[in-house]
Amino acid sequence: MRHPPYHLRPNKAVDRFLLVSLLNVLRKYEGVDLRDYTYYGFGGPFLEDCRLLHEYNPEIKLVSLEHDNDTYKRQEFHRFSRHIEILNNSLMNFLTDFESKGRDIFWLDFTDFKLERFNEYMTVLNKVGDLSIVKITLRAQLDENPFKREPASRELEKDIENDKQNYLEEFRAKYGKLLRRPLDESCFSRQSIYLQLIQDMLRVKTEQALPAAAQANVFQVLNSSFYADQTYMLSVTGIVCTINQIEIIKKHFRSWQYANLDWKEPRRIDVPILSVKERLHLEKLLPSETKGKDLAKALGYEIDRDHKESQRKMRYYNDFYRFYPSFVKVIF
Amino acid sequence: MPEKKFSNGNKQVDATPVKSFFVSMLTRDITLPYAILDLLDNCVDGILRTTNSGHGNTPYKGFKAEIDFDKDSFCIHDNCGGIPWNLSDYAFRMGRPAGRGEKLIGTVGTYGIGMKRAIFKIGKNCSITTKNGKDSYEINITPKWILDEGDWRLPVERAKQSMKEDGTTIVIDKLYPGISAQFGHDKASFEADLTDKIATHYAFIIEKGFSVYVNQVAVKPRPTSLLFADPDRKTKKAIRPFIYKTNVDGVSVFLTVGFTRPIPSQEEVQDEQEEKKYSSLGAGWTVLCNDRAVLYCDKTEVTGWGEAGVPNYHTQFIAISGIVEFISDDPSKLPTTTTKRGINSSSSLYLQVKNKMREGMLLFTQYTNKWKTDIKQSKDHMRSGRALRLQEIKQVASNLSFMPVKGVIGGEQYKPSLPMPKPIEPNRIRISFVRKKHEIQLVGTYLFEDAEASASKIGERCFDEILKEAKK
Ligand SMILES: Nc1ncnc2c1ncn2[C@@H]1O[C@H](COP(=O)(O)OP(=O)(O)OP(=O)(O)O)[C@@H](O)[C@H]1O
Ligand SMILES: [Mg+2]
Repeated sequence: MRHPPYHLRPNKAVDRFLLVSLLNVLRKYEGVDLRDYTYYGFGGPFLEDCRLLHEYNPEIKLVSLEHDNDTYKRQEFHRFSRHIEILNNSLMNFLTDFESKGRDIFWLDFTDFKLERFNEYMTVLNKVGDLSIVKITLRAQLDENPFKREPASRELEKDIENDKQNYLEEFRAKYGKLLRRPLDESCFSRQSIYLQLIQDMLRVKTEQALPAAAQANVFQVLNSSFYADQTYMLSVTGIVCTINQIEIIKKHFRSWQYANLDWKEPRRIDVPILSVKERLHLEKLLPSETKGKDLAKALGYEIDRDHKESQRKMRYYNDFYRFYPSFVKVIF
Repeated sequence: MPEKKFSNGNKQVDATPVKSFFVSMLTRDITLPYAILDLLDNCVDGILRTTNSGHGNTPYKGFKAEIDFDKDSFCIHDNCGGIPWNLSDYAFRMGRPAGRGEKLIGTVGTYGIGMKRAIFKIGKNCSITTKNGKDSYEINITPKWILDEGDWRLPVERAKQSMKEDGTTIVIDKLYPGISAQFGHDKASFEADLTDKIATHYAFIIEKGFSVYVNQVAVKPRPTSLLFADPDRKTKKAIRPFIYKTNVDGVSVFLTVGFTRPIPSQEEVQDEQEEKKYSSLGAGWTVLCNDRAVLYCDKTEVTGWGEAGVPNYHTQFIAISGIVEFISDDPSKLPTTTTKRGINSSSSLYLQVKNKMREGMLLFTQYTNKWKTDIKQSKDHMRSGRALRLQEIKQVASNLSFMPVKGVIGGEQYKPSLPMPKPIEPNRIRISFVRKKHEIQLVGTYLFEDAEASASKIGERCFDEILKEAKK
């Protein structure tokens, strides 16, 4: 089993920290005691998510799920505590027998995009109790497709037109029940619209799993983020609660800097790659009073393509610097 | 005859209808999206009343309906001619009084209940504003009126706002909690559901020019098209749909069934069963009554699957799709239920037509069964096929030679002759076996440098290689 180079994924690290940050807000919610919570995640070979959670919230019980046997062994090798439970099992198998004891935090940290993933997500939503946190990450990269192709000639134009129709048809055949609006060209030609499409699909699936009309549990979205370390990923996090709790929960989370309580556009995470020395240099300016503009100047050189791009990255750095991974600490 | 007296001395019993019956019982027979489709039906009926014709390719062009909703209210606004004042005495009554002599062609309104049922399903307060020529008026249904068992009259007012075009606006608020949940918290999934229902049930009407918007987004139609090989030429053996048509007792019937796509390979069938890739979404029968789909892609006995020699629906029949169209100036002759989203399966006309549906379908299930072991060859048959919509099939049909059909409902049919394989040599045997996925990928990479190569391709190559060895 091959894994992407984790230490080259600073944005993913930020996404991980976002969960920690969210739990810090949740902790203060009336009636919540993080000791009642169990975290379920796909830790990957180094169990980074579990490790991070353990560091900040040692009271949360940890379970790691891994279906690949070698990766599982590798996780055992990287076990950092006796208390973490490392299971060699697939998600669906695990869920079939899963009975929630208390409250749960699920991170369905998928790396692909498939109909199956939506169904697994739905199963989780249906199995967890109220005030559980569910986070799902899906691949949201706009792949090569006929909408991105430029016809080289007149004849090809017709072929491409055909391919486009087939592409839409196939997507609709697969995901039709999750489409909030009719598909059109822009869904597959513009990354931002594709992200919105996937977020909408997640929302539809969420509502199908926990319909408000059933007057049982519902799902309140708390955060939606996307990033591209190499490929675009979309990460949506929310809380399962009763419909009566919604207003109180919204009020509680409204002041959280990263809150997205109405399925608004997902927030981009795009932090620059900075050395420890650079980060120390910037420290005294943080948090920035100019949305990162001063940070972009402070180093005396551009950290990206041009000034505009450097400034953009610094803005994200300002947004997320507290979550910036310190790899020195993680890699040993 | 001696007068009958009961112990309590009454000479009559009370049989006046109970309002709450209409409000809470009738509305149970219909789901929310279908109740909304009833309102759209009325728009289309309104168009027919205005233009007096449903003929031509785009009889509904220029007409639209806009549906908007949120947790507090629901609104449907159309420019479809409005409700004429002379209809108003009927339009707001529950049920259609006998002898209401409106001569209307090709509508679907039959029972005089659709609009009211939809309103009562959604909320407790409603205003209906309509403009038809010089007539422009407004009617309000209030929670008080709904609770008042004695009062069956509704006050009419001059419209407060003047409307630009002839049309109708229905605004409903004081929504019932379950409805408000669907329009509010579950908005995205309800939009998905409603849009899907409109895109399928209204596919043919939208194709013919009508526009429908759901929360400001135009719905795109999803009509079925069938593969038709060389529609412009005479061919012997080719993939073409089966067609049957007839005219009985003021109802004209047009039926066609065929392939929408190449038949699936074993792998595709399996993928679909595991919900991985393909989907049966577009397979099965669609039944149209005066342009409206009352059944969409049905795969049950209602449309003949699993009856009289036709196999049960199975993913291997994913490519088979059929359309039956019933058209009548008198909607009560159409074989549909009161909700108009289902078939009245005891209708004798429908039962007769269903025979033909099964007969046509059988051609394609048999073809599928015969060719499923030779997908490649079958794909070649399909290659020359053009995907034709219902309207196009009708046009092409005028050049085909039809055979008269005997029987109660008569009519005529076109029976394509589909290519049939030579019988499989008896000395050929199928091999199939199961191996670990990663091992297959490994062999795939080894043979084709492609971990995703299909399992059957890999299996065949392995066999062929060893066969070569063995023959040496
Ligand atoms: N938006 C509209 N535009 C034009 N006419 C309308 C509209 N809404 C309702 N009407 C007319 O009002 C009358 C009552 O409609 P309603 O749906 O209650 O009964 P129906 O259509 O006659 O029968 P059914 O119960 O079968 O639908 C019908 O004549 C209908 O055509
Ligand atoms: Mg009607």
